[in-house]
Amino acid sequence: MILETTQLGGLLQAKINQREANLKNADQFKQEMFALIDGGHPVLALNFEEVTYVDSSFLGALVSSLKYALSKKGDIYLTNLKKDIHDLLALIRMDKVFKIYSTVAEVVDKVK
Amino acid sequence: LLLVDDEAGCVRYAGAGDLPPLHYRPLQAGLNQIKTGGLLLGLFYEAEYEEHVVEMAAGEQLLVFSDGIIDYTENNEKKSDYGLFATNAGALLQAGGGFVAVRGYLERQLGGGRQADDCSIISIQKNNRV
Repeated sequence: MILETTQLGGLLQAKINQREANLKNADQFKQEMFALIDGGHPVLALNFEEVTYVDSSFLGALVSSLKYALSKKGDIYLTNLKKDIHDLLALIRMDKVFKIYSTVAEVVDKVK
Repeated sequence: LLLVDDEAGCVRYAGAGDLPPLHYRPLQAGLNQIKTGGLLLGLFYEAEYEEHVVEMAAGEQLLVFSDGIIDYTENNEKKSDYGLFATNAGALLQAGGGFVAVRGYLERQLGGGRQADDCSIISIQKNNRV
């Protein structure tokens, strides 16, 4: 498992427990995300606290997960992004696609 | 999506979630980011993609590249730094090294096991012929 989940009130936090989010773990990440969404958590906060690097394969899996969540009337909130990763997402306009927050607590407040 | 319009002497570009290309102008310090608002292709059923026209004067270059170009490995840790690549490529082009110098920089930067991801880069340069 590369996602560690915690229930925070009405919101599920999924924390990525990998430093490098890349081709090697992208498929597994996508499977775990789909399973969480199918398991009754179409809205969730994805915590990137441990992640220091993201490649395009993983970003593809992330976008697939978002499309799946949206199809289930859900959403994916990204939190705790390192500056490099946040800057990369902004460069490729993914900050216009995902809702990005500094902390999971902010998401919890948002979705109350 | 990128079209080299050789009759008009420009490049027409519509971004779709890719890294902003970099435009080098000899008379201007640094490289200009070509920013457009297009989102990732296929994400939404209805999406609009604006066309940006990059006017190219003689000697100017446009660098179009994949995300692997800005990734590198340092102390066994992978990193991404668009600004670092833009700064260094701009300095090399300003110094007159041309794309050969940029390629040499990338080979040094990403050689010796420092390459973190697959890399592609295209340089489009307008020459001095009319």
